[in-house]
Amino acid sequence: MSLAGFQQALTAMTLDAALAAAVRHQGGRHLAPWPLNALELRRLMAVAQQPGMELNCTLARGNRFAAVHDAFAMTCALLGPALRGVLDDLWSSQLPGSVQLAGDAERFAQVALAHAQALPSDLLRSHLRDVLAYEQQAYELALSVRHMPDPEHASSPPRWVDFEHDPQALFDALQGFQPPPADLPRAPHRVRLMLVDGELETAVFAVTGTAG
Amino acid sequence: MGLLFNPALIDFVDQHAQALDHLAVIPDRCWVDPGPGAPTRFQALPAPLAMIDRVAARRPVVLHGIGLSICSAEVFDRDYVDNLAVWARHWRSRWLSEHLSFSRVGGAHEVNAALALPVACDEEMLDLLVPRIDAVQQRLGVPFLLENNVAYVSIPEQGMGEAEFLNRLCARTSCSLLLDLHNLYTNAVNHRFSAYAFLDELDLSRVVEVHVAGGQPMMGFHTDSHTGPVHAGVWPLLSAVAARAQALQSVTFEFHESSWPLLHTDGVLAQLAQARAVLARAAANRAFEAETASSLLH
Repeated sequence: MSLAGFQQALTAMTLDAALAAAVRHQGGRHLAPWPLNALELRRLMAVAQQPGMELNCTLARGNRFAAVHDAFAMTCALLGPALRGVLDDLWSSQLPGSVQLAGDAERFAQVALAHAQALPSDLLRSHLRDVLAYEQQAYELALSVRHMPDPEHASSPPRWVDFEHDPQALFDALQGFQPPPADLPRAPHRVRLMLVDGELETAVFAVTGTAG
Repeated sequence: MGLLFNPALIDFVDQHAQALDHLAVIPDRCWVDPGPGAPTRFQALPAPLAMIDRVAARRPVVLHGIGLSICSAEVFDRDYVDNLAVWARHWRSRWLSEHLSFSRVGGAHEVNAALALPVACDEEMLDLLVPRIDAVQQRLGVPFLLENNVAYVSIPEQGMGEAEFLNRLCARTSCSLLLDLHNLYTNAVNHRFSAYAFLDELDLSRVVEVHVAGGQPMMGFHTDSHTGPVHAGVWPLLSAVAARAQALQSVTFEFHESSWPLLHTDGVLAQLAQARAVLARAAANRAFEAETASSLLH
């Protein structure tokens, strides 16, 4: 099973840039967990020294990130520099189990919320909670119909997400990879999401104050 | 001349099926597979399946798998092969291709590398692959093609180069080759060898399908990102292969769906037309050479 050890070690280095860097800078003791013959050890040591190993790590992260970004594009934009820490946390606790990279998107929301404190203001933390909830609902709706016999004509009951601020202003900024307006006034809204003929339809409603 | 299907091509394929001699399809996009050991594997996704059913009724389909990981030491997923065989029959796929690489490790608790990783071209890998290829070929019931891999690292002390490895693999099995010319171009640029010397060494009589694609620079490398149109460096390679690969049946243009805004309908049609022009020139040259040889003999 020596070849298996070689492939496990190369996979581990690809999924963990820190491990690849440790092997590159500190040598083969970091490869001790895997059963390797002398040739395989020399091969891995040589591979770790090559700039292409760093590229492999980057490409693997890019492939994993694509699955998250497809579902949570606006949340990723909102997180900005904090996104890296979210992804490091997400990926250090879960390795991909299949070529379809299932599971990362499902766990992303939970990990992102845990990192809310890394955002520099209460306003951004409020936006994160709202945008994340919106994208999570949209993602769950998409998943809910994909195994139906005729998903192109599927419809769903409405789902509602509360926003502290005008969601349209948030969506416009984040979809253009811009930060949300810093002077956005507090203005509670509700967003309705539903599938109509397989397409996600959203409607935004301002919440007006109620007399006591 | 055909295309590798991606979700950006749904309308294009519906409207321009006549421009395609075939459509290459990644079957893994048509199901959800939680992996070996899961209660239910290969849960069908009706929308992509219906789309490919529509195309298969009008144009030949070839399957291009990404999930077999045939070079994995610990994993040889016969259930996955069985599922491929079902869909190859369903769509009357002319052949099925996979990559000379591995991404799956770990046996009972699989881990996926999220990248197709290279293998050493050595006797050990040959001995691993030969019985597997024969088993896959037998199970599929259609020709099985292996694709040369792109690799950003080079594994030392391999014993032989990739061309010799592929030649020996083909000689010991019944498999044919999918020659990805952008993979070859990428490896040649990054590892500084001659792509033409590789083609001179490779047994081109086993090449049944060719892939052409584009790429982009990243971190000091040329990457196989499938960005935009076919890379300019790939067209002369296609010309060289088309002139000599007697068994070549199709050329497939592949691009990532995120490149659709760079291409649009006209851009995709232009790539197909350019590839057809290269193939036509190669055919004309072959005919001329055959005629000249014949006249010299008589």
